Amino acid sequence: MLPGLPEDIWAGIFRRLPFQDRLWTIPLVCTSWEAIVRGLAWGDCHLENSLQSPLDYVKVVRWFGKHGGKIKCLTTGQLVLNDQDLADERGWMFFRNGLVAILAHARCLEDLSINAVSTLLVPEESLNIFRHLTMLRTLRLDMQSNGKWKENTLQALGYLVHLNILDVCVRFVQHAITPAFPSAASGFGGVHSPSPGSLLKAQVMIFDFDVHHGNDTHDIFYDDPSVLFVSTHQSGSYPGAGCSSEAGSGDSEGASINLPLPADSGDAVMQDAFERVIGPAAAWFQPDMILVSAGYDAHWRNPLAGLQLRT
Amino acid sequence: MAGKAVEVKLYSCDGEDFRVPSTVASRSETVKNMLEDTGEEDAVPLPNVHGRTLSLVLDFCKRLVQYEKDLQDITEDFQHGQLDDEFNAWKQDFLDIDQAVLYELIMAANFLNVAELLDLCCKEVARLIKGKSPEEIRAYFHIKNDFTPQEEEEVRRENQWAFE
Repeated sequence: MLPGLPEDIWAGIFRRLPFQDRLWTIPLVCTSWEAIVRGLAWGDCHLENSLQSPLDYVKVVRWFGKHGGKIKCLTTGQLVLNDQDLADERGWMFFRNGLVAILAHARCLEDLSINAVSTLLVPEESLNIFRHLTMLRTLRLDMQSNGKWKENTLQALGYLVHLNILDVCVRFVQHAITPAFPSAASGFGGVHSPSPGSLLKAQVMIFDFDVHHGNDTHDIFYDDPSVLFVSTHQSGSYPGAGCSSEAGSGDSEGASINLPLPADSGDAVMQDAFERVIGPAAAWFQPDMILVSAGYDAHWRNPLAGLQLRT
Repeated sequence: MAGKAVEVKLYSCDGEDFRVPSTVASRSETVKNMLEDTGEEDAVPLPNVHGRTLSLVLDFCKRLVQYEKDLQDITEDFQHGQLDDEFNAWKQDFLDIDQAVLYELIMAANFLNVAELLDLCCKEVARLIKGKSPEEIRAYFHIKNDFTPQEEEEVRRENQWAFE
């Protein structure tokens, strides 16, 4: 029965298979499956569920050695190590090395998404990982906003500023934000090289515009003078943090800006906040990069909150 | 347009009729488009779908609508995971069907254009294939090996470095 499914549905099923099944098993089943796999666009490659054991890495890296130059779009997916013995730091190092080897072969990559990036990127090496990917135009990174994230990934991002990547999307995986409206991806274009003085650490401005206060991000950078954190949120909404009097501590005083806005604020108030606070703050801080923590729950069509912003 | 209480009538190819809320029926893009073309009260004939399959599709749509409604109502973070777990457990029970029914379900999900159901079914078939050898897959799906020995050798050679 099932083999009678239309070809496009089979193609959809094969696309959902781990890399090694799709590449090494399916073509050997019968001629029509071989033809379907041959017809799948290799420009689009998902490693999801493919890297679970050392042997997988060896195979996939070898495959990339042969065909990696054709891959235009690569998604690593969630990384799950089946091998219990490797489910520790060594496992992650193993994955990291595998990914570095894969990327070294994927020279024509234009679009790259990496999950769990904070465990992967060693700041000093990140530039070498991405440097030869001269075609790379879009880079999406998922990262945890935990302690490691701050030390590792932000520093790594500082290096990435030097690369000529047009569109970098960073998605913060936060836990304190209501699940129906997770903090979403954001893009910033036209990243320029910063002054040599900031080689090790870029000046970063983070702007969080959803209904809720970005309390995790706020706490992480509260005493970090190299990060300007700006949050607009609805006054009194969950988690109830982010008073305007919280402005950073010590050296970092002034580098946290909290703008609790009253319910029913709407566009005019937001416009005002941009013109009178956020814009001047950005002009003063001169960030090398701006990350936008873009939750869309402040939109007027969200029935659960009342900031009433228009599109 | 579509108020919550509005019911629509769907006819399967074997003449069975199903009365469901339009919110449920509209999870099918195909039905949704038909409803927009013809107006609310009309009964929608679905000549490609058998009654027992349509009933499964509608079960899925109902559960999906319920899940999304529950998501809107939660107040605490941990409830999100709980709802996901419940929905996933339900999906597992739902997919406890034989190959022939799964085939019908995929064809119906494709025709009715219920993206979430098609995705679920494709993942299920992928799960059935995953980790099996070509021989095991052929036996499982009753597929005939139609390669000539030379062709098979060629495909194998292309991949040989992967098999050590």
